Amino acid sequence: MAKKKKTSESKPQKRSATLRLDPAFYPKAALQKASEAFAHLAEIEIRRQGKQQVIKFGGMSAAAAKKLPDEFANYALSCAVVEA
Amino acid sequence: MNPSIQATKNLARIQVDEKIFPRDVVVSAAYMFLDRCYVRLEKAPKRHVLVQIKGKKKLSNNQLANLAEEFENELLHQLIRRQVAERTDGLREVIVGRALFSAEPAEGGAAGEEPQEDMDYLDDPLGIAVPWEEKYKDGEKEEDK
Repeated sequence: MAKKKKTSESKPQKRSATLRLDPAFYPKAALQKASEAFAHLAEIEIRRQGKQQVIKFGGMSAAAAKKLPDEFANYALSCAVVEA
Repeated sequence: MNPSIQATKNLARIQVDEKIFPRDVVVSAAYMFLDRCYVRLEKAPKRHVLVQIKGKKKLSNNQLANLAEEFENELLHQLIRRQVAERTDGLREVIVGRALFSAEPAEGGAAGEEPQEDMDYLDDPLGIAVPWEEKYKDGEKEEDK
């Protein structure tokens, strides 16, 4: 009996990622603003861990997972510059 | 400030000395590159800043090296901008102060003119709404003669 092929019709897999940023360059207000801007693409959680700001991204699509952390960091840096 | 290139990671790393390029200069230079690549900044030992430049698309070794060199040039550009801004700070204040002072409305109205409360927005005392042909019709005729 031929085996049934697994189809990819099941729910698309959600991705997660972690980003660590230096608070000397990425102040909390800038990270908050970036998190609001990207909230529709992922669940974003910002936490201070020692000397770093840790940003956890959850529930991202595969396409978003490739670029989101880098785009988030760029956006946060621009917020930091504009609001400085 | 020798950049290290990691083509497999699509990444260029540059260590910038904060004693030469202050932190705000590094941040300003990074800001100029945000549309072209992903830039990440972090503190490094011995008062250095580690700048990581990552291509938005896959870049070759040479392209990454060029990007890093352009970043170094931008650092210099931003440093000079800052120095000029510091040097001309007083002059800028005088110019802006004088401009604001001269634009200040005189008592009772704007720019010394008395308010004309009886005027309608359709009124045209200066004849601005008159077409050019109508306004200079007579003048042209005189020139023709």
